Amino acid sequence: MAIRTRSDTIVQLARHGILVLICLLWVAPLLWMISTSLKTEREIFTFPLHWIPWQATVDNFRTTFEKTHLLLWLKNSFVIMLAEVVVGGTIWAMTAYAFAKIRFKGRNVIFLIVLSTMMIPGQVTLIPTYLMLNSFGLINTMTGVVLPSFSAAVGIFLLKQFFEGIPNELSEAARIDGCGHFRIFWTIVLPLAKPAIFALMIFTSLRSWNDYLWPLIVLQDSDKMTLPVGLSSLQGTYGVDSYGVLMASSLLASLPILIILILFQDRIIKGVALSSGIKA
Amino acid sequence: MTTTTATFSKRENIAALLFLLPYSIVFLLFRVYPIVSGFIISLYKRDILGLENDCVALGNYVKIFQDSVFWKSLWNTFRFTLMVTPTMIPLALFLAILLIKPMLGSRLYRLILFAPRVLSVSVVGLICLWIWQPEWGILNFYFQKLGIPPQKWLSSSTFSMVVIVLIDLWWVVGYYMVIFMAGLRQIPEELYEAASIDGASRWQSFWNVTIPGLRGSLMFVMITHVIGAFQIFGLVNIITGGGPYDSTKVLVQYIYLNGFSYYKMGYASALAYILMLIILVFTLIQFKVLNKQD
Repeated sequence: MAIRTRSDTIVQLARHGILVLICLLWVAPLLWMISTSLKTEREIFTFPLHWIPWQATVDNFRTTFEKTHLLLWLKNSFVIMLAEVVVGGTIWAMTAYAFAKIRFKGRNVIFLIVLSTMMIPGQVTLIPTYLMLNSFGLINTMTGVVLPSFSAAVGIFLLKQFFEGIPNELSEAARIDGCGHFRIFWTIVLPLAKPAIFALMIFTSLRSWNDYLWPLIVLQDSDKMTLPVGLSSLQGTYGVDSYGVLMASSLLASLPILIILILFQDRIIKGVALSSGIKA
Repeated sequence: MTTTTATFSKRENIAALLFLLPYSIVFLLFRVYPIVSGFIISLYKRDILGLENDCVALGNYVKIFQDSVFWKSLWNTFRFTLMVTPTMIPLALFLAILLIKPMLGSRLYRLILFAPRVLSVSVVGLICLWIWQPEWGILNFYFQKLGIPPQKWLSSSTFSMVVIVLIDLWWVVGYYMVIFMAGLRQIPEELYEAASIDGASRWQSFWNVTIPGLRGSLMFVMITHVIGAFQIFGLVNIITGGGPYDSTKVLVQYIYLNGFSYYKMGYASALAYILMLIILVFTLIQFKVLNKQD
């Protein structure tokens, strides 16, 4: 036992050492972003490069608010994410419930068909969906961004697995008491599925917030853009193309989600792990 | 008894219909229709307004095989995947193993490693463009101090893809680390104890307990990561735009360019279907290879 303790301490120290080094490396880009955002244009291009600004300034942030639509982009991203999570989640939960708890004709076949569409990469449906939405006049609208996201089957798959884990005795008992499926869904199954639903919400929020290709194609006006699309449009735009402003915009864009992550890290990270289907 | 079961299932069917109605609508509109329509469009030469709409049957597909930019994009996509997946997975596993035993600060370490994952692709792109900048980037600055001559990184066709891989690693490894941590937690402690009683070294118990125990997560991560890597777009579009000299032009980017820059919708559609085929083939190959290790 005594010999083991010595090598154990070395291992522990090594673990901490490696982790500290890696974490410093990992957090450095973010620190550099903050550092650059607080520097004047001249100071950014002054050697030697330094982390703490000699003359901190909030000009870059002011430019961001005045010359870019950052706040609008934040709002748009948030609204779209909310719509995708709430409406999408409701649709997927109802669908998963039907597949898991209602015995109807052709259930397995239909589920397999839905499942097989999960294999089809999004790029295949990109152009036809764009053309269809164009004919409905939904291009350059938030609705156009949100609608196709409801057809994703991942959420249904995850929730169905979880719902199936809820014992049938519970719903049978409710049946005998005269409850219809909707009652069972709402009062029994949904509350029991809270962890899975939460995990799905996290998963969907993350995907929606970071979605780039589809909003890029659909949204053309700057004031309608989502955050990723809007930020990328700053490149090469006169008046905001300086790295000081770009870093300030990036910082402001990342602040909300980083704060949420720090506040709710345990639940978010647990939800992420769960949504990869490990427990299943 | 028979009449009760009959009305039971009719009620079931109606309930099912109501519950499935919302999804059925979006499924038909945004899955079935586009999949079919996409294939039909790929058989035409079509621009975005539909002013030009000539049926060329498999002509687009033939053109793809003769298109050197397509082959370059395909090769770049392969290069990316071959570089990123075999580095991402061991790194994520390594980090997961480091962090799995609770210790002082493990929550903070985990937070820092995971945090980049929640940043949007544009933020990652802009930050990294700045860091890897040849003249004023912080990286070249420190490399020079270490005696390494400054490189052009993102503006060199040799290094640009490597840099994209490194950036992607920084961005998402935390996510896979978390998944592996969940998988590691599932391995029963008794297996490790049994191994150490049998005199196994740390390395041996890693290969004989950890890896088999993680089979589920490993398979999941490997297959989904490859599928995701084939579809890389945002990072490349923002950081290099496909350059320099098409050295980072990836397939999805080529699809995007054809569809929404050159407005060759038929051709872009055909490219998308080819991409799907390639992903399907490689996923099947992966399945076969990974399942053989039974």
